[in-house]
Amino acid sequence: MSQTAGNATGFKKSALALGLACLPMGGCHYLRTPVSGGQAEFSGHRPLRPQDIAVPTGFRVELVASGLTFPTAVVFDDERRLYVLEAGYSYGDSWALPRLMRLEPDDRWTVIASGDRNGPWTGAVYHQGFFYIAEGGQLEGGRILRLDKNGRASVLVEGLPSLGDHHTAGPAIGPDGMLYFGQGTATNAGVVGDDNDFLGWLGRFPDFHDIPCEEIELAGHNFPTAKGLTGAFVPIGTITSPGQRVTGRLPCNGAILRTPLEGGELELVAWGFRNPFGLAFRGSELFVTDAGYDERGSRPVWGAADLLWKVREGAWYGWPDYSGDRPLSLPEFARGKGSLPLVLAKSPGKPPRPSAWLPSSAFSAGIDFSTSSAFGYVGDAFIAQFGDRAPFSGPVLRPVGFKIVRLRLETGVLEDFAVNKGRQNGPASLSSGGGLERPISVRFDPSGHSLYIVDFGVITTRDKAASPRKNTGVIWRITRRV
Amino acid sequence: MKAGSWSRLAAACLWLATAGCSARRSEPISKAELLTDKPSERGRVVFMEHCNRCHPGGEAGLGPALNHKPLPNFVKRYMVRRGIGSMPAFPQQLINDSDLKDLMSYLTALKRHERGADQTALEEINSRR
Repeated sequence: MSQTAGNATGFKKSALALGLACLPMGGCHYLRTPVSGGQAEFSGHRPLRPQDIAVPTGFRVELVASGLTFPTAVVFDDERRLYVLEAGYSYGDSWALPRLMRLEPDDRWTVIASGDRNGPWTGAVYHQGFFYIAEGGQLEGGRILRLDKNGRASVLVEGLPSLGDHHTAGPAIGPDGMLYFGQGTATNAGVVGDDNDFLGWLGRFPDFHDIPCEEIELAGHNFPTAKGLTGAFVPIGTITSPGQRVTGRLPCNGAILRTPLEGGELELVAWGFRNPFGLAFRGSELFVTDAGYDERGSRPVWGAADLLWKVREGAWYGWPDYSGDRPLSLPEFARGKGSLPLVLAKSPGKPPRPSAWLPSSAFSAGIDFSTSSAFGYVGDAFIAQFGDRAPFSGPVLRPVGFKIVRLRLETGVLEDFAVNKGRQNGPASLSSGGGLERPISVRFDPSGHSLYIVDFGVITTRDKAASPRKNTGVIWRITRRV
Repeated sequence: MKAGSWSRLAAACLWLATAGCSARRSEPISKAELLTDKPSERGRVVFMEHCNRCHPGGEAGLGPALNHKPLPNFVKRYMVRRGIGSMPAFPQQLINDSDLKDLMSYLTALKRHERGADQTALEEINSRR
């Protein structure tokens, strides 16, 4: 027997012996039932117990407000008063009125402004007497709204391509005095498919599809759907051919865009994102969270990370052919079974390396940076993870997300900051706890001493369909104990 | 039986063996910062780039939990290099030998961080009684 063969036999024996020796120690329930975060049975009552949320030693959690319907952001005016944005729309095609509301000292709410059925209002920022709101635009297309403190609104940008999966989101004011925002893609991976019908929008807008920001050349791959073979960047049922060119234009999908605060020409900052949801500046540098591909639809992608990008002007960030700087043609994105065809004949560029790789399926959403030594972790990013939407977005073995994480930007090291207690991670509704459900954004107050968490509320996802529950949204606050 | 089948069988046995233990190790749960030396600090950076997307913090996500598996390092190294099930292989070009060694140090540190996590879970259970 050769040396190599002898080593191989020894390895087999030791591995098997070790496995068999350990077998009697365990139970097998863990293997049998993959559990996603949305699989809870929700009774209709959401218990709220800040003590059910674990935070690092020295911090405490408080409940600020509850009973909200699909809250997505908090914002502070120059008198440090707290405002909450309610989206007015949730996945699951559940509609309500988008609202901006102020929390009064006696805990009453004053409604500053209401929208119509064109939610979700996904994010807001306050700057020099005005609120700037990203209107998701599920029925009429995305808009950027400017509201004064009395709720008088003007439209800065409209006609954004937000009728699909991902919306207009995350406004942030840059050091150049411009308003930056994200525009999500219509689809998961560039191809309209049956998953979009399931989400509800394809029935309303059968011709809607992704629009590139610059001209692209297609490889001509087409994918099966119920309406026939479909290519990338075209309506469902439309076949593309190799070398076919698609003209780019503004506004486009999967982009960071900017506009002057008074309104004016729309400018492209960068493109090739999928769902650029959370935007925040650290000094003069813009960072954006980008939710990774799902394993769904005509072009499902497995194991794609959520990403945090540092935004470089003019760069292309890889969608729909890369995850980070890794092409989707690698076997890892097809569960090791073959590989996915790339839809672009020629990439518009080489995507940069992400600032951080975040857990797949977590939907890493809102982001803010600590600036106060009183809170600590100065310069670190805090990111709200909404949590998985399995099985619709692809299966998971255990719930992913449903927490606040802290990221050390210099190393890309991610750590939990606020999570529900218990034997395993997940939303409070899954463990009958009273803690976090679906955190969607975070924001430090103007002093930087307190971190506010916007918790969207309960969404169950049994049998693939999302069932969002109104009046279950919550605002939490985390401060360091003196 | 082929070599790949043997290793898969062994890995499945070990997975079963640890089903009852909590995999949670993060600071809010364990109430203690993870103590790391230089190699495991470097290994943590490798973990964040290549492993964390499917095993967040070493817990289960898209992939199974790693923190409570009594796998010896040579088996872990084998799984990283060869892949298993849906988990892709990570060749030298992605994780070189030095980084792989650091990664093993980090996984060991993470696993040893168990006591605090279990204590917290116990306190949590007691407080609800």
